[in-house]
Formats: sequence, C-alpha cells, structure tokens
Amino acid sequence: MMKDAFTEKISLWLDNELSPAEVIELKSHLERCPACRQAHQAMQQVHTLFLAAAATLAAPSPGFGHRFELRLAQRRAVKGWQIWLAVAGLMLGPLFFIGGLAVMGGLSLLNLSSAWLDAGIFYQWLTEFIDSAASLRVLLNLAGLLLKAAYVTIQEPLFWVCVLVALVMMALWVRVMQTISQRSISTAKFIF
Amino acid sequence: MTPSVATESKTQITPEMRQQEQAWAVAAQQGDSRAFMQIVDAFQRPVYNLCYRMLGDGAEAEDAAQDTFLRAYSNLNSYDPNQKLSSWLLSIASHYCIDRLRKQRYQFVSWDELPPWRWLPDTAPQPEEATLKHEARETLQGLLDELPADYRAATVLRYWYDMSYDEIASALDTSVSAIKSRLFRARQMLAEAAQQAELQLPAGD
Repeated sequence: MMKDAFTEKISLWLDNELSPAEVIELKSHLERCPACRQAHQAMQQVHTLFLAAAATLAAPSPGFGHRFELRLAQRRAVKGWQIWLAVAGLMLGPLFFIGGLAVMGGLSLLNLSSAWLDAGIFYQWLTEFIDSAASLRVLLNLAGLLLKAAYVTIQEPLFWVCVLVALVMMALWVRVMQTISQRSISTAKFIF
Repeated sequence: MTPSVATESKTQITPEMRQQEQAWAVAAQQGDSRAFMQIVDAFQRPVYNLCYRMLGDGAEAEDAAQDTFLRAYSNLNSYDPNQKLSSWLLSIASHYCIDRLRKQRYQFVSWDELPPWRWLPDTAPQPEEATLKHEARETLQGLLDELPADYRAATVLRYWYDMSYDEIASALDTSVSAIKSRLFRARQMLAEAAQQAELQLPAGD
C-alpha cells in the first residue's frame, strides 16, 4: 500500500481539510505524478460512491420502540432479584454485628452482676434503694456498674472491629436503599 | 446474502430540534421515562444505520441498536448536556459495534470467492431501478465489510453523519491525527478492493 505525504493529502482534500495553498500545491503535484493521479482518481470514485449512498439511512423494521420497551423490562426483571439478594445480605450484615455488640455488652454486664449477686450485695442494695430511692449514692453505684461493664467491653479489640464493620455495612445499606428507591420510582413510572 | 433493509432519506437537524433533544435528555436524567422513549423514537434510525453499516446484517444491527439504547439508559448520568446527544449515542453505538466485530470470528471473503454472477457484465435486459439500488447497496456494504472495525467506524461517521475530524476523534476516543490516518487508509483499501473486483464505480467529480 503506497503512502507518502501527497497521497495522504488527497484524502484530506476530499474532506475539504486543506488550505487553499495546500490545494494548489497538491494539484500541481498531481499534474506531474501519474501514480498520485491514479490514486486520486481511485479515491475520488470511492468518495463519490459513498457520498451518494450516505444520502439515505438504513431504517429498522416498524415497532423498534415497542421492542426496546420489552427488552428494557426484561433487563430490569433479571437484575431485580440480584438487587434484592444484595439488599438482604447488607441488611443481615449490620443486624448481625449490632446483635453481636449487644450480646458482648450484655455478657460483660452479666459477669459483673453475677459476682455482685453472689456476694449478697444485691439484697443490701435493694434495701437501701427502698429506704432511700432518691439516694444519690445508689444512683452513682448503678452508674458505676454500667461504666464498669462498658469499660470491660471497650477493652476488647473485637469490639472495635465490629463497630467499624457495622458502620461500613450500614453506610452501604443506606446507599443501596437510596438507589433502589430511585430506580423503583423510575420503573413504576416506566411500567405504569 | 444480507436481506435488504429499508432506507429513508436523511433529514436535516434544525437548532430547534437539537434544543428539544437536549431537553429530553435532561428530563430523562431526572427519571422521565417518556422522555427517554422520545429519544429512542428520534434516534432509532441514525443508531440503527450506524449498526447496520458496521455489522452488515439487519438482525445484528437491530440487536446492536437495542443494546446501544440500553447502555445509554443505564449511563444517562454520564451524559453531559453540553455535548450533542446524537454524538453521545453514536459514540456508544460505535464502541459497541467495534467490540462486537472484534469478538466475532468472521471470514474475509475475497472478491475471487464470491459468486461470479456478481461481477460479470450483465448482458440481460436492464433491471428495474429498485433492483439497481439494491445492488448498489450490496456493493457498498461489501466494500465496507472489507475494512477493519476502526476504519469502518471512522468512514461511517464521516460520510453518513457529516462529523468533523474532531467529532469523530471524540466519539471514538482517539486523536485527530489517528482519524486522518484511518480515513486515508480506509479510502486506499476501498479503492484497491474496488479495483481488484473490477467494479464499475461512478466517475469522480
């Protein structure tokens, strides 16, 4: 396949991409070069054929729009169950980890409270509470108990891993639910 | 042989039509499905034509055009309203067809292997005009089918859609110099193919 600066310019000339000076230079060259002249004639003929053919567009058979609507509805049906599966997984994930946090915290609390019950302190506490329910000391003891349980829990590294994973899962869940709600509105409008 | 497809004359796009198309696109981005169906109705012919010229088969062109609109629907948020909607859709269609051609296993059929009746001088009485037009389309599509996918896309966008080199480069995600080179090589290949087949081409202007 022959290629030089002038034959490439023939293609640019056909697309009106040459400056007037370049056109003059090319025409002058074509007068002197039989090979380029032949290349020009061949490309010009193809160019003319395509220009004539490009006056018309191939058209689809009638009902193209209707067929597209059906295809779109089919695509949505296929993707629908995949989305719901992902949503179920994302919902269960945060629930599992939040539940795990609650169990871990509750167990820590039970460990402390069971020791407290064994020592018979519970009955003393109850008596004091009945005698002076508004006693600040009793309230402080209760608050102290809760703080001790929390202190034990937060010392567990797994607790922080659970918190981090739960936050990520919940953020993803919110994002997915937003996307689904937007698409559900679009689908409902499209179908109905 | 590829079944013939219907053809229609090209219509000129006025600025008012272009504004309407942009309005549909913006509405579709906001979830208006009717607006998107307006886009499908308005652009089904240009998109189908590009797919047909690229793939050379009516059924495949229908499939490709449908998938083009599906992709456009799924990626509406990526459409920039400052860009021509037609350019955006044709860009999606071009990339889809190029990928499809590259995945297909297709055979190059040389002109020598085609039935000889296609190329021998016709000594029978002159056929009707419709048959002449049909044969011309077949010849043209046969020439286009000779081109590699990238060259074919550039050729179709240049001739059927009057796109500038900049627009073609943008649609095909390449440079202007690459487009210049592709169009030049495409024309050379087409001219050589036509010469080898001893086709009767129209005289150049």
